Amino acid sequence: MSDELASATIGELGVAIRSGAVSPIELASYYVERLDSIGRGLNAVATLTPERAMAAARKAEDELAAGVDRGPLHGIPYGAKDLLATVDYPTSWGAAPFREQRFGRDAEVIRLLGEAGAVLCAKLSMVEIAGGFGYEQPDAAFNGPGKCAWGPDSWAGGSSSGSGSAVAAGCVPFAIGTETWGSILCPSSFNGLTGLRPSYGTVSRDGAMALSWTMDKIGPMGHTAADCELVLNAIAERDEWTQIARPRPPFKVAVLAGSAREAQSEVATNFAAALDVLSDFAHLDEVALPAELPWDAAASVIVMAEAASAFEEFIVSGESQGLTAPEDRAGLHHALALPATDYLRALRIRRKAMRVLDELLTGYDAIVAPTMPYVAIPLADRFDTWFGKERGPSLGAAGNLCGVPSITVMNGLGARGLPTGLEFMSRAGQEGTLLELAGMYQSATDWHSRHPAL
Amino acid sequence: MVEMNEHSDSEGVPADVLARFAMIEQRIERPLSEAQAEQVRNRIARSIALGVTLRSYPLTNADEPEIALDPFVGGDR
Repeated sequence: MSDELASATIGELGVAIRSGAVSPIELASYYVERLDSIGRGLNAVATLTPERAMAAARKAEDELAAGVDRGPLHGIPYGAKDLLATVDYPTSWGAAPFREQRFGRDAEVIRLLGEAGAVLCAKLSMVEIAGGFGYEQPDAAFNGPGKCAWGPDSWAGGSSSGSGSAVAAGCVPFAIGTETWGSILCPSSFNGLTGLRPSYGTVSRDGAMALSWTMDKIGPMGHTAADCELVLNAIAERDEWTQIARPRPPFKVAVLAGSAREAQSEVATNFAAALDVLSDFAHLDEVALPAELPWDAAASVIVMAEAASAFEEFIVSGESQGLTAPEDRAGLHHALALPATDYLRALRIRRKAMRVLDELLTGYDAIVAPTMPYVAIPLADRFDTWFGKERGPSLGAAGNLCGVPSITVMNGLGARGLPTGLEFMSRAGQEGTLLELAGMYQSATDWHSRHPAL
Repeated sequence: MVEMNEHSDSEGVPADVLARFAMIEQRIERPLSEAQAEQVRNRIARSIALGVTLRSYPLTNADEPEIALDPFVGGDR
């Protein structure tokens, strides 16, 4: 079967299925094989699900033959981050102590994708416990560090590592990732994908591992904004984002002041080039996030407190000593002694921060910044050599603290030939606007159609 | 000559860090290695600094937390 399938979008695969050029069973076989070979080589696969995939593909094929078409995801293979429960396979949360964990049901997202006719081919690797124990280097999953599809000596990003590298490597046309703080956008940026972090609450978390009840979000990772929209349509529990009228060009886009100042030079160059592209269909203004708000501190304390509560027994019993990364094993002990007043203060600040951010974004369709200030970091490096540096302002803390949506698109190649990303963030419920903007950017560029040589 | 009873890793560690660390040590069922104990103390120090940052942002008595309480009224909810 042609390797063109490896880079096909959901829309292209849908056309191929309906024209009879390829069948759902052939597609499922093709991607399962690719996951088993290339995907495993990138440490992207937690568990292959071939039996489930073939049964779902057969059903999709029979339904189409009988004239039943469930829509754009009918017969389309995908992978899911291994923190989403599935009735028939283990759900490891990326962590050795949970490697054999099983749930008696599918997560709601998995159920909805099944309803839409999508075909689950693999549970994809992730950083153990979604990175909530404070890992400090890439080797923090029971099956080894996730490797970037564009250069396997570099990290795939986290915590949705396998979702990022598997899509980029053409092992699945789309994947489901989750983000508490950066876990969809970082691996999407490192792997040159389009990744959408929906507004908090848009997608049901039922059946997903809880790290931070008030910050966990579930979203699609794919090749294009159009693909992400098709998936969001299938998995969204709330439909506010479809009710809001989408703006048309010329858009009003805010540029986060200083966001490329400390970035790698190629990231800054690509960001400037992306702003040039945007200026063809958007009016650009430079704005800053209000500095008086402690965005990072509030988000950090909330994640810390909620994660320590969600995993309290795991920490206290000493089971966390079975985690892979040495720094994770006692990584969240400190949060057992976090004062309740600190947590509540962070929640009180969040209430004000949400209003401040909304007011700032009200005058704009979106705010943009480099998704990450650097490309995928070398696999052997510790984070403090990268994350410890002054990085300049970014959107991650504010966006995740306040639960607003973001999308990242590939906007060029940087150091070591690795992808760079461009992030658009908007007011809550404005996913349609983000998809429109990202789609316009992708219509004007071809970065989203570049793929790694494997 | 003063006899040193405190563990060397604890020397120079602020009292608030040691107080929180003692609280944690009392709760956990499996002892920490020395390296882990030092890591926990470092992370406690960082979380204390986060608390200081949070308190530097002024709030009033009227500033409520963003908590949505949805009272249970029965049924399938």
